[in-house]
Amino acid sequence: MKLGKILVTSAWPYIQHVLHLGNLLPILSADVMARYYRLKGHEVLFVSGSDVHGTPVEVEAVKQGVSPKELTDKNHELVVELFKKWAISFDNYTTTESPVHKEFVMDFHRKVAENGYVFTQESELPYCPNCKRFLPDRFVEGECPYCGYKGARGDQCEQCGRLLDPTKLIDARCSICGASPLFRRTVHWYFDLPRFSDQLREYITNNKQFPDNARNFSLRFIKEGLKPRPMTRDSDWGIPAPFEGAEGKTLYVWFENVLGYVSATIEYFKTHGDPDRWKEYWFDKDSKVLCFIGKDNIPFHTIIFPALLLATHEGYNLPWNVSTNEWLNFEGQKSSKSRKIGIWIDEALEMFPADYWRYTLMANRPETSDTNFTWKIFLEKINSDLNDTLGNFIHRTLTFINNYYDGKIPKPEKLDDIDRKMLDAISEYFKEIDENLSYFHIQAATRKVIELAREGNRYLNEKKPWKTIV
Amino acid sequence: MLEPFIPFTAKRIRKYLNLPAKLPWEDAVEPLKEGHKIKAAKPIFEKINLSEEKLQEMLEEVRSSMQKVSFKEFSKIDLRVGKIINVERVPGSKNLLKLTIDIGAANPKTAVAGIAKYYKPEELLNRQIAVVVNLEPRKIFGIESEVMILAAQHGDNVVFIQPEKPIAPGSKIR
Repeated sequence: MKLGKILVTSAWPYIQHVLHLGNLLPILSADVMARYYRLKGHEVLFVSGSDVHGTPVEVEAVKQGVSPKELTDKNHELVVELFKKWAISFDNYTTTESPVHKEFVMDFHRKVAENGYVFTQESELPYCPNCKRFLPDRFVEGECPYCGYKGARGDQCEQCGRLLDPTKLIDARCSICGASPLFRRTVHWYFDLPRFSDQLREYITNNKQFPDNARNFSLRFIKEGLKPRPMTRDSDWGIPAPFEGAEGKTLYVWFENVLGYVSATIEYFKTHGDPDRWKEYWFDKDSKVLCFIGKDNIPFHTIIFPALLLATHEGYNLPWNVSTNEWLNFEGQKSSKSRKIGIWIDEALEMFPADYWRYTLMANRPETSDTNFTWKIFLEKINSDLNDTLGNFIHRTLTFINNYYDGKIPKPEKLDDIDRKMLDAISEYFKEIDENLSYFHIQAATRKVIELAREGNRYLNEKKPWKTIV
Repeated sequence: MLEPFIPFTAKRIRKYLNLPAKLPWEDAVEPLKEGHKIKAAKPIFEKINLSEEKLQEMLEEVRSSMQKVSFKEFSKIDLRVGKIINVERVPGSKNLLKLTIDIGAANPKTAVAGIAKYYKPEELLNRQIAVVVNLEPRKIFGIESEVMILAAQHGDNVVFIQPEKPIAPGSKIR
């Protein structure tokens, strides 16, 4: 049987800071699945990259007094090294400043515009008289008109996940200087998203892989009525908007970073001397595109990205699954760099080996609701699960063979009921773990591996092979 | 079966089992052949014998040791070699000594240092020592401390930092 190709992707992290453990979840989940599919014999390509554009980076660069390019060049190098230390098995981890990406994105949007899905519209947008600039996205903060969250940003409320329009923010202020913005008229290019409502509803409803959180959020979003989305920003940092008359405007990050899944595939095959093979991943109908994201990225992956792919009329594969994790809190609180809450991926490795964290994170992967990282749980996972159960089982078994059989696997004796029960347990667990992973239930799979080791310990205690040997 | 989750550990176990680096998923439940030679195994994990509080402290220590200072910021600190030319006890304090330090400038500087428990005044006299000379002056026990001496501390053990060979007072430390 020919196994289909699988493109594994994880959301492109903004790299205004190094990532914290919560930010790592989609990347780590993608790595687990990429490794699993490779072992199963699939042809796998695992791609992602640093999202170096966008206002989070710009705001942080302004705060640090450096250019966005300086900030992101430095951080990109840093996270590339860290991902190696975490054993994230990327085939291509690139950046949104890559020439291949920029060229692909501009060509792509020219096509979307040619197909008639882009129109211009004048609107009033927040402008800071102090900083003398428009305030796109994270440059403006205020209260969310839907849920009342005080720190909502111009493009999205972190609390309720809804996409926002900066004019709707209550008590808006400039996130650099705190001034109340003026509203100035400016022209922007819009993507005609509502025209895809029916196709998207059908795609989401028929997709059997989507986890409930992604499906429910997306269907509600469509039901509330899709609106045209502005694709451009009055900002210098980003990919130039490739539309006629749009000089000086750049593309909104979410209209280019998701296209990075395609451009990173192109880049991979270009550098490997096979420039056309990327098409096998994006157009062959037995290939699958698999996205791993955190829940704040749902609408961009289930709505905007598929709509953009549809808008080319070229028959791109749409995401086969968008595996979405909930939040990982730290001792009951949201991770926050400024408030020093949480653990960052560089610090973690200074404390303990990567596998200790990988195991703890996957055994607590927040799949259906938020989970909590506590030191208590960490100690339990490492000491009881890894050390006492898994480590002990492997070590005692190998030491036993080394001590009593000169390190050679002995000839099996006649099987009794206990042996047969253990053999059954092995195939049963193996089947379950396989099944869990094929449904993206990574947390359950991780836990079952340990349970199998627990069965192994129980078996050894029951059989006491050291007694019969002497 | 461990490879997707904990690849470093899986690699070590494959080494102990004397198995090749690449094994298909299905082989996870294949029994090893009779007579297959394995290697000596060390314990796979290490137990963490720390309380939750200690782990949090450890994190904070790691965090502060990783706080990066730019070279520009670091270069603002003027570190020099000084020579202690006078030592007096500070009346009313068990911990403090008043040091007069030649830093190569026209006038010697005063440092008030909490090292009386670790050094007798005569042990310090005429010794060379590392000094921060451009710290904002502050009053300690009524005496203006103009410079700060550097010392290393490990629990109750405190030692001052001196140049490996004598060098002219005022030499810049970089």
